[in-house]
Amino acid sequence: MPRPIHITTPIEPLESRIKRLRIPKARQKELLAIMDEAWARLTIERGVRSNHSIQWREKSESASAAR
Amino acid sequence: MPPPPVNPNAVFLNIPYDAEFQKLYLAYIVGLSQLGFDPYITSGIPGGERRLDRVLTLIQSCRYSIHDLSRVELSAAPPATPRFNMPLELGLTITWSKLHPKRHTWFLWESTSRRIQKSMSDLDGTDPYIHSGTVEGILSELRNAFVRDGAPSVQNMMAAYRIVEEQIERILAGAGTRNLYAASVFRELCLVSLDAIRRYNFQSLAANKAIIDKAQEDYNAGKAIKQNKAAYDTITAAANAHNVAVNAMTAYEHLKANEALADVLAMAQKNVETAVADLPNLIASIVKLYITGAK
Repeated sequence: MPRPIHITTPIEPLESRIKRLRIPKARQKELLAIMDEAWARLTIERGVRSNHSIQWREKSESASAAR
Repeated sequence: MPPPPVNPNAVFLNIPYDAEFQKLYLAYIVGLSQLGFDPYITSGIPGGERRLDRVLTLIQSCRYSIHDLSRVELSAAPPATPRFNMPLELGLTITWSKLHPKRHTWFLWESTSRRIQKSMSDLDGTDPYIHSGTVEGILSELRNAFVRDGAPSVQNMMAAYRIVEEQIERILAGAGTRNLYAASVFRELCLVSLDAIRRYNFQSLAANKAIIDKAQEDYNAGKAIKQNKAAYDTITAAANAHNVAVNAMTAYEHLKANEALADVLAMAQKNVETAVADLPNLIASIVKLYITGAK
C-alpha cells in the first residue's frame, strides 16, 4: 500500500483560487448561471428543504423536567 | 535560473489527453478541487523547444504530482504509438524530487495492480494507487493519498462530479470547442468544481436543518428519541451550530456581494469552514439518539 500524506497546509480561500483561473467575469457569470440551474434541479430532485430559519418551539418544561 | 516558488496546494496532473480518459480527467479535477488542491496540466503550454522548459517549471511550482500510467496501450489512431510524454514527465519529476525531496512529492497511479512492474520495472518498490479505471476509484484513492481534516466523503465528491459532468456539453458549447483538455475548458472545469464546494456547503446545511427539525419534533413529541438532558443538549447544540453556520455563510455571501477586500473575505470563509466543520459530528450524535431511543 502506498503511504498517504497528511496535509496540514491551510486551504486557500475559494475567491483567490477562482481569481487565479483568470476567467473573464462575463464567462464566469455564464458558468455560474449554468451551475445555478443544475444545483436548483438537484435540490428539487432531492426534495431537500431549503428553509434555513430555526423555528424550534422549545418545550422548556419537558426539557427541564428531564433534567 | 532559480526555480519558481512552490504552491503548497498545487498538484501537477500527468495524464493522457484522450477521449477514453475524459471521465477520469474530470474526476481528478473535481476530486482535487474538493480536497483543497489546485490541479495543473500541461495543456495550454505551447510546443517548440521551450515547451519542455515550461513543463519542468510547472512541475517545479507544484508541491505534488500525480502520474497516471493507466493507459499504456498503443494509440488507436494510426500509426499505433505508445505514449512517451507521460513517462518523460515522470522522469523529470523523479529527478526534481530526488534533488529537492522537500519541495516535491510524486504519486504513481494505475488502473491495474502489478502492471507497473511490467511496464516500468525500474519503479519496482513504488506502490501505485489503483483506481480501477473508475471515477469512484479516482475519488476514493485521492482521499487515501491526501489525508486532510474535514475532507468531503467520496459520496459527496461523487455528487459534485455528477453535477459537473452533466453540464459538460453546455460548458463546451459556451467555450466554442469540443476539446475537454483545452486550456480554457480546463480552467472552466476548475471553476465549476470550486463552485461546487460552496454550493455543497449550502446543500449540506439545508439537509442538516431537516434532520435537526425532525429531531426537535420527535423529541418534543416524545417519540423515537428519549426525553432527557443529554438528548436535549445534543439537539440544542446541533441547532445552535447550524445557526452559527448559516450566519457565517450569510455574512460571507454578503461580503462577497459587496466585493469586500480579499483578506476580509478570507476571514469570513474561514469562519464558514470552522462553523460547518462542527456539524457532521453533531448530526451523527442526533442519529445516535434515534438508535438509542428506539431500543
